[in-house]
Amino acid sequence: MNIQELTREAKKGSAAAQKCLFDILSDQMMLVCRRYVKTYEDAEEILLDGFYKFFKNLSSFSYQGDGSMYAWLKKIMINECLMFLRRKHSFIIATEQEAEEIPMNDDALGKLSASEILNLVMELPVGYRTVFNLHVIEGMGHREIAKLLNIAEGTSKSQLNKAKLLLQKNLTQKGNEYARQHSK
Amino acid sequence: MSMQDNTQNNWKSLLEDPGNFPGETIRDKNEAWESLYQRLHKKPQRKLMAWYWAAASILIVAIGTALVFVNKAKHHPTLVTVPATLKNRLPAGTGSSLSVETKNTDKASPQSKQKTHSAVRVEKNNFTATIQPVKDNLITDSLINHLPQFITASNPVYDSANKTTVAAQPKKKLRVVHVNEMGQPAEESTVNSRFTERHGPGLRLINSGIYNPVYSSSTNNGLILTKPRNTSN
Repeated sequence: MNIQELTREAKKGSAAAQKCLFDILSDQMMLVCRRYVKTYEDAEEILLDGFYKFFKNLSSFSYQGDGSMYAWLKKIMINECLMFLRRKHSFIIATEQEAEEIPMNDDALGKLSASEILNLVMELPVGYRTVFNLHVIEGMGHREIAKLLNIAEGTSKSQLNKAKLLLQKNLTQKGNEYARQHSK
Repeated sequence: MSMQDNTQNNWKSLLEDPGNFPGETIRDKNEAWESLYQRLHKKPQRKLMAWYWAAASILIVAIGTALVFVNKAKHHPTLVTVPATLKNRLPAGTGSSLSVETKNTDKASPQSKQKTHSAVRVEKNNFTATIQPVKDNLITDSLINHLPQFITASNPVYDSANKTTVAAQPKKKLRVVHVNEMGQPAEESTVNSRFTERHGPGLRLINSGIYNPVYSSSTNNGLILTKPRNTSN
C-alpha cells in the first residue's frame, strides 16, 4: 500500500493506516525536531503533538504527491517546535541591525560528517540555531523567517551571520583539538 | 550555483537523512504510537467534565439564590390590614389610644401571609377586638411593632375602601398672653409655704399646685398600695 492509499484510509479513521504513516514518517520528523530542541524527550513530545495535529487535520489535506505531504507534515513539526520554544521562554531574539554577510568556509564545512554538523548546530544558542535551521536547512528567506519569528528582517540576517561566525569558531577549535590529538 | 549554496545543500541532504543518525530516531516506535493512538481515539472526557462543572455551578447558584430569598422572606414585614372604621367598633372613649398586636399563622411568603393573616388583636383596657384583613388599607407588621403604645391622630385620614374620614379632635388653643399683661407675681400662699417647711421640698407644677412624694406600703397579699401623704383617708 503506498502513501496515497494510506492517506485515504487514514482520512477515514483507520488506525492501521495511521500507524503505517507514523512508522514511515516519524524518523524523518524526529530529526527535524532534534534540530530545534536540545533534549530527546522534548523532541519526542513535539513529534507526538505534531502527528496528533496531522491526523486530526488530515481530512482537510488534499493529497498532491508524497512531497506535498512530507512538506505539510514538516511545516507542522517546525511550527510545533517554534511554539514549544516560545512556551519555554527560551526564544527571545533582540532586535539587531543588519550585519554584513559572512561567507562560510566551504573547505572546512564540506568535509564534516552528518553527526558532526548536527553537534555543531546543537551547540549554537537557541536564537542563532533557529534562524540557521530555518535559513540553511529549510531554505526559507529572511522575510519569511522574520514573519514567522515576529522579528525584523535585519535581525534575522544578523542572527544568521553570528551563527555562521560561531560555527566557524567552534569548527576551528574542534579542528585544533583534532590536530593535537592526531599529532600526539 | 555558488560554493556556499553547494555547502548548504550538502548539509541539508546530510541532516535530513535518518540513516546518518542512527541514535537520533525514535527509540521505541510502538510505545510512541500507543500514546499517540490513545490521544487520537480517547473519548472526549474533558467536554463531559466541563458539563459536570457547569451543572454543579448552576446548582450552587440556584441553592444560594434560594437561601437568600428564604432569608429575605423571613425578615420581610408581614402585611396586615386595619380598617379605618375601627373606632366605631370600640367603646366610647377608647379610640384615641390603641395597642395593636399581631399573630402570624404562616411565614412562607409575603403573599401567603397577606391571605392567612387573620389574627390582629386590638386591646384597650379590657376590650379586645379581632380585625379581619381588608385589601387596600395595608399596614405592615414591622410598622405595627414599632408603633408607640398610644397613637394620637393629628390629621384627618381618608379610608378609600369604606369612604370615610377619621378626624382627630382639634386641639384646644390656649390664649397667648404677653408677659407684661400678667401683672405682678402673686405672693406665695401662706398655706403652701408652711406646708413646704413641714414636709420638705416638693414639686410644684404651674396649674396643679404642689405634689408631694408618694409613700407606699405593702400588704399581706403582696400588693403595693400607694397614696400621697397629704390626702385624707
